[in-house]
Amino acid sequence: MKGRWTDEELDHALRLLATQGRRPTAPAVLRRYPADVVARPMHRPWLAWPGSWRSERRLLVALAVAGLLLALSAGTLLVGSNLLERFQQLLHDPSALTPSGIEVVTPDTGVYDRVVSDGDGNLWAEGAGRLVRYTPATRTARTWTVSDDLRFAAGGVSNITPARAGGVWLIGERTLRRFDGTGFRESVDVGATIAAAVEAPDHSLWAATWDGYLVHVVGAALTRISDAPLHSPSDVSAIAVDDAGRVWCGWWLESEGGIESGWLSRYDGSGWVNLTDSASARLVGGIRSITVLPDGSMIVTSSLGATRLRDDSWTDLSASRTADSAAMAPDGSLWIARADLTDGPVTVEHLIGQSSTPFGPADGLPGAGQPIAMPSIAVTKDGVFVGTSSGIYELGAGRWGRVWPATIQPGLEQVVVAGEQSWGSSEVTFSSVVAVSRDEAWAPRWKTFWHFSNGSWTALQAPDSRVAKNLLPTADGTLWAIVRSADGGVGAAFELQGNQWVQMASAPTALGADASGTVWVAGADGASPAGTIVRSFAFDGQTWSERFSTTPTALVTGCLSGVAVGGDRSVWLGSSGGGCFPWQPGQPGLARYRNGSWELVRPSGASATVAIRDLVTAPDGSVWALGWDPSVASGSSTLGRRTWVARFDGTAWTVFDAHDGLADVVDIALAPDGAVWATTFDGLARLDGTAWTSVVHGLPLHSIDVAPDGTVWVTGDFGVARIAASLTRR
Amino acid sequence: MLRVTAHEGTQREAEAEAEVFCRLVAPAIDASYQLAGYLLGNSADAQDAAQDAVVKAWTSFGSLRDRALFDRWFRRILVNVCRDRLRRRHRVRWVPLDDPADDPEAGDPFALSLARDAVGRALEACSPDERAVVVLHYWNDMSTADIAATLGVPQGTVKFRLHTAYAALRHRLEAASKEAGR
Repeated sequence: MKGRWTDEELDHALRLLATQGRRPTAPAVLRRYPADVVARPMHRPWLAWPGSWRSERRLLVALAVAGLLLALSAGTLLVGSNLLERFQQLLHDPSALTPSGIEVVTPDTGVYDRVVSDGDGNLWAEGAGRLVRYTPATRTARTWTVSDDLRFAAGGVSNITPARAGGVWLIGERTLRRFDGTGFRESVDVGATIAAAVEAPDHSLWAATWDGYLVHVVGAALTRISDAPLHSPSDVSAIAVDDAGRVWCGWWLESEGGIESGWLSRYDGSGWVNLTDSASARLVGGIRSITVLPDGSMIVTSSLGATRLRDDSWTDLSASRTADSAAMAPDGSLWIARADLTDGPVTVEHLIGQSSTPFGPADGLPGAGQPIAMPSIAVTKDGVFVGTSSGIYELGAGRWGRVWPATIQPGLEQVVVAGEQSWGSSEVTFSSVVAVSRDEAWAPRWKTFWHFSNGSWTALQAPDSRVAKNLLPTADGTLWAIVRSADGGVGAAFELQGNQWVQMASAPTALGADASGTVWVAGADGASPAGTIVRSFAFDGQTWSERFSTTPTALVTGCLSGVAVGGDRSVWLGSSGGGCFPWQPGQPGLARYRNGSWELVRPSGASATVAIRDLVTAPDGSVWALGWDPSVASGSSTLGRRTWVARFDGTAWTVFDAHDGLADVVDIALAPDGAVWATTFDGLARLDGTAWTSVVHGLPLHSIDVAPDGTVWVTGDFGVARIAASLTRR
Repeated sequence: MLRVTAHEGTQREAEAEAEVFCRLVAPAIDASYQLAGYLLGNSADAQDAAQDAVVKAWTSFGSLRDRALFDRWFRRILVNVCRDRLRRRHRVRWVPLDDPADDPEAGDPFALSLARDAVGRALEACSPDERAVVVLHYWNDMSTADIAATLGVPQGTVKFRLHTAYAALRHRLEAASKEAGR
């Protein structure tokens, strides 16, 4: 090392160090930060004193705060904790956004088929796990996700409707919340699951609820109207209020054969009028939307076309074609949007008097092969916009162009999956997440393994174009993958060697690893199709080779959900059921291989019927199982039935269930510190020894995994997210 | 029902102000992150400092009369935040909660960049004020006059801090040299 340094040499060395040093770009979370900051309520100083008084002001404010705290403490001692709690409630601004610590990292998939305009000329869209406000005048957009506030939870927001006081109403499961771009200004709990809602010209709210009521909200008062002619309350698909205060409700029913039917009824404050039979033949189709136009007329769109009611007479606008959404331009012309229900191209029709101008994929609108979703159209003072499952499009100079999102990462567009696509669930979600570190994770989605690393996503196609099911990165850098055929049939295990997938086992559907790095796969045995076999593969520094296999067993078959190896080298196998879904009564779900033979296992204290959703091994060799009791036949969701989490320490079981404060568990994962993490229908919970602690509340979550560095990753309707360290730290 | 009344006019003004702020601060984020990174020596502190600076800038945005001077104004806020953090480091000794073997700065772009050179490592010997001047001068390529304007101090003070920074660096480098020679 150099001994003496002159100023010139230091100058040269520093200049060299600075010019050759790295110039890292700021992380995405930091880029978003200014937008987050300005969205919070601004706390200006409440005393505007002259600058020269600044130091005195600080001192006085500090003294005032100290005095207040002293008074509070004394008051608390005197009258108990109620005073402090009430004071805290007064200080808390319920309208302010509260960052949730759920750091959503999934890129925008562009599914924005619900678009409305507000009175300020902004366009609002909901979908893709995001709420978007697009301002056409400045061509700027702002998005919000559950990262900004849990009240944006995509799973809890089914639609949006314009708010006359500014912004939009987010229609949640039971709640209507008005968001104006800076905070949640109003919140209404209608007391039942909402099918559709709208704000009336008099600022009152109307909501159709699944329990068969029409609910009218005026201020703090709720009126439930019970004599609604509801053929099926849950299928109220559209609601509108005209200038006279009459409420229009449209129904959309679909039989098993796919035949749609609908009804249109009007509530005038004292009773209902059924308009379906008398109005127009078009209305017997399933009703998509009811739009009250500025001229007082209204348009009803249905599976059989668009119909306009003006001066008590109905006019068919567009015959024999499905119409999804309608809007009126300031010049009085009409715009109608629709999507082809077979392969998805979006078309828009512009009606001026008797003439019609059609627009389709040749004019820039999303073409065939798009996911099936109903487009919605909105007209602002700045133009015509249509929200689709491929983004928000604007008409300019005779052509449509996408204005949001600016780009969609190739491969992350929505895909049409025959047999799996259904109304209300147009997104193919990430099926699981595999956590590597705070900056790295894998997430399988349809036929791709997505890799998140240092802020960007890359796609790795699943072998043989099969459906990506599960992935396991091993310590030597190998990727093990489980895939299955698109029809849900047999799976296969592959190992990625360089750029080539190499098939290692023919039909496994479960994948796991033990503490030594040995990979375990389980699936149907090729020699005896009725049986299940578990194989292990070990890496010798150069290649992976099979080391061990169990005897085939017919005890546990069907949809294998997990394979794990206990501390005593016993092999555990879990299955979620004989035919995957629905559950076949009597099918065993958990088995153990020990000393050359298989045995069925039921955790003592667990419900009689055992179905296993996940199996993991803890560092101490204990085995954890997530199970549920399919025999509790309440509700339509298998996951919604009674669930439990059980630990087998080699000699005894400890079972945790709803009695321990943990209901509706979806997935579990073990952290390096020994904590057990669970995702539930309600959020995220951690088991510390014997007690569950709710870490995130009010956000339905799907899969979970914990990285070796302790970072918790989850998936949900919003996509993929990591949990802020501040939430997961004990 | 919970009903919170908003003053619509005020709200629109606030939204416009927020848009202006975001437009001004967005292009400065990368440079701010880099400046904070080399001032503080690691990415985590840089992110925290940049976030603190954004909050401070937003809460006092109304006091910035000439928006054309935003960059310089924001840089001054950032440097002050970083200097405060450096000073706190001298007062507070942080005890790692994790395994001491897990070096939180392993793989950190700023820590790696500084650690690869003896002069970079010796920057720790500088006081917060000296380090601010050195980083602004070399990493941000600013003249002493520009640094003076940014920090709000006389140009002579900047030159003096540069001079004392050289002395601190020289002292640390020569001490390290002797240590290596033993």
